[in-house]
Amino acid sequence: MTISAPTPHLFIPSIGLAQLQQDHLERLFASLPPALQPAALCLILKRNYLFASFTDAPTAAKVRAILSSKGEADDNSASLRSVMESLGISLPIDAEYAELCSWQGQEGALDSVQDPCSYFSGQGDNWSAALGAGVRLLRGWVVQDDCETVRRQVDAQNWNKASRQRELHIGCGFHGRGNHMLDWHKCVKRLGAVLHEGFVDRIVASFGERTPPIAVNQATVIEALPGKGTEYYCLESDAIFDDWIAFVCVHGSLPLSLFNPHAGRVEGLWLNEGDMLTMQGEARYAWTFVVPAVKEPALTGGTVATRSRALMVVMRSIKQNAQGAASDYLFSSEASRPPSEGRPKMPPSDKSCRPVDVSLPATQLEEDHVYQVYDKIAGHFSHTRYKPWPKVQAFLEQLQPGSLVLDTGCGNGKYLRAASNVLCIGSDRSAPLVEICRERLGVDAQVLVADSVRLNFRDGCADAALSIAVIHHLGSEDRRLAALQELVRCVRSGGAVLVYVWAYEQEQGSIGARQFDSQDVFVPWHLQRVYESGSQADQPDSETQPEGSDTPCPPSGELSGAREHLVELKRYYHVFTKDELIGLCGRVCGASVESMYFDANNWAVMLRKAEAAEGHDHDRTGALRT
Amino acid sequence: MRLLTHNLLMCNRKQCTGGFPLRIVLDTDIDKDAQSVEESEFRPEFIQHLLPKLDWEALYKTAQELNLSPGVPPSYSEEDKKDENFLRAVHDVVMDVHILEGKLVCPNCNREYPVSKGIPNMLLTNDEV
Repeated sequence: MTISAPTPHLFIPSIGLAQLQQDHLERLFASLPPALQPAALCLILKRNYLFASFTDAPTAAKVRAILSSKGEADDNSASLRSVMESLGISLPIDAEYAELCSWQGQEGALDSVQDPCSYFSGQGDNWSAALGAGVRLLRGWVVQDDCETVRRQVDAQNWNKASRQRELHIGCGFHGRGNHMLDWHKCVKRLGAVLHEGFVDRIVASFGERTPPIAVNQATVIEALPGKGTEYYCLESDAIFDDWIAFVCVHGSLPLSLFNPHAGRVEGLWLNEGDMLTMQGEARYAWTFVVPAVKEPALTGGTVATRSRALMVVMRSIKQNAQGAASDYLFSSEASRPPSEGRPKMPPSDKSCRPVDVSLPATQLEEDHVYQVYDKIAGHFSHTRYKPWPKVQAFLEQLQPGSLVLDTGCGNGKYLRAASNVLCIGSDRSAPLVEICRERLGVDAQVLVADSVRLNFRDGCADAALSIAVIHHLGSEDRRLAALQELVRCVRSGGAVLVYVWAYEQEQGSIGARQFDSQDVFVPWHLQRVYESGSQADQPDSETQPEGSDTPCPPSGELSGAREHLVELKRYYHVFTKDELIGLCGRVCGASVESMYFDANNWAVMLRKAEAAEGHDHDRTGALRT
Repeated sequence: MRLLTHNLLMCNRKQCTGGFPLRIVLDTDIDKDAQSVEESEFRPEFIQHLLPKLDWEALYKTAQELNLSPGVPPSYSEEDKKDENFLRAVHDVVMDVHILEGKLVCPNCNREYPVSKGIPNMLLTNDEV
């Protein structure tokens, strides 16, 4: 982590966020003479050390000498010493040189803003193609309503007062110059608090099918005022950011100056509300941007625009490793840098599902091979489950506006907000998954930890209920029936219950198809060790996302990889034959099967609760509960 | 947890019947916000549809216990259902009040269900199922 040769960076022990607040630390360094001021500080949460970067190695050496001096204060150190004293820090501190090599050669801020002579205002294709592969300009991509919603959310937030321009960081912020020092202090923690799901989805959709899929975890909103600009270009490193970026103007119009220092090219772009510029692949790291201070930008076509207040959202993904250990990562030797290639990939999906000894007690089977497994894989699982199934979504959308829906076994909550006209309340047996719902969706997520075999909702309280890929995890027929009965109990007379279970009859050759030798099977889940603790539950790891849409199967990567990085967990499934599911539903009191269909290797059945009050008596008899 | 969600929850231990409504006991630890108000979009027709599904007595009682002001009236009439002020009051109580830290206590058997970070944990032990 540290080396002996002088570098512009210092590792400074004994002071850090563990004992001092950020503004104290900033004040401390501000008390150095102007020539010795650090260019950037890297503060790490809960650590009693920090890193400081200076303009050059001699400056770092001077500061190091000041910190290590025991003697009399001189002009350079007097002010620093008095601030230190007031903060209760004593000298000497033995600072060491640190290496900052992860992005050498391309790190850093580029000071002079290049002024393009005009700002492109036409339609996108040719223009963006000229910037290079991976660049796309989509005029009017985001609809006005979505822009408006974002603008309202943005205006409701506290802006980062520390920065000279008005910037709002979401998910993660940045320290100092150059977006390479991650800061989880000065930011809105949750993406959803500012950017609603529909907006994010719209942006992600523009990238189309992509491997790995886009997982947005950081956004910065920039307020562009007339005649004001952001200060410097900053090249963003592939060590920290995934290889895509999106710029969306959500309010007003603003000029962008795009600069490719390697190619020495400058391009101007005029963005109007709803317009989006995206970059992926090499272009993403080659170009950098500022909002220039120009008052009356000349547009292509000869007109001169007048600026007004505008808002632009910049969306990115920060790599998993960069999030996990910013300090080690940012200031470490090349060896510990996470390689961009050769990271563990998912092995070919192991479709061999082993038969289960069903003589095990049902509850034990569920405990060991369902609940414990989901608790462990929650974070990973959540990344493979993000797209609502169209038919389930259609079911929700056809309900009366204002309907109450229970989603039992809601997993990561992908259906909780799938339809805007209904109110969904989710429950799941796995507390970590329920917490993920809450993390993803915020206070809107009405979720609880509950057992689908015995629900805690009062009778007839909901208009409809979902049980998607849930009862096939229950270890006995009695318990599967009890779960169905509970769903029927909780919906009102005339209410509908939609149930999805894995089908024994798999459509061979389809996504996620499996061969079952038995109806009671263990299905392996390959969990990457990084997820094992569950502590990184909601941090996307785009490298390991399985391809394609959400299938009920575990990841189906095609790359061979380091299996030692993976933990195999066995999930218990009872896969249903069609006749069996019909038979089971036939035993449910007070409801009948309204429709049944096969959907992506699942059997789906819709039950309708009887209109008559007669069914009600059965609801609470508990005859089916043991 | 919204009070709407709370209005749907009951104690469902096999040893217990009639465990509704669950009494909310806020965790008054000074480091935590036990309760919060998060404004959400007011959709009058949405609230109108919700009304018949609410257990009004339970809602009124809970709002009283939480000292919500203005809360909701003890009962409402057909007229009220079209009154925007009334619907707004219902919205404020069922949609915007969130219980974050504390517990839900069964009025019948005193079983306690913890609420943490806004998530009630209703899991029962094996002998309760």
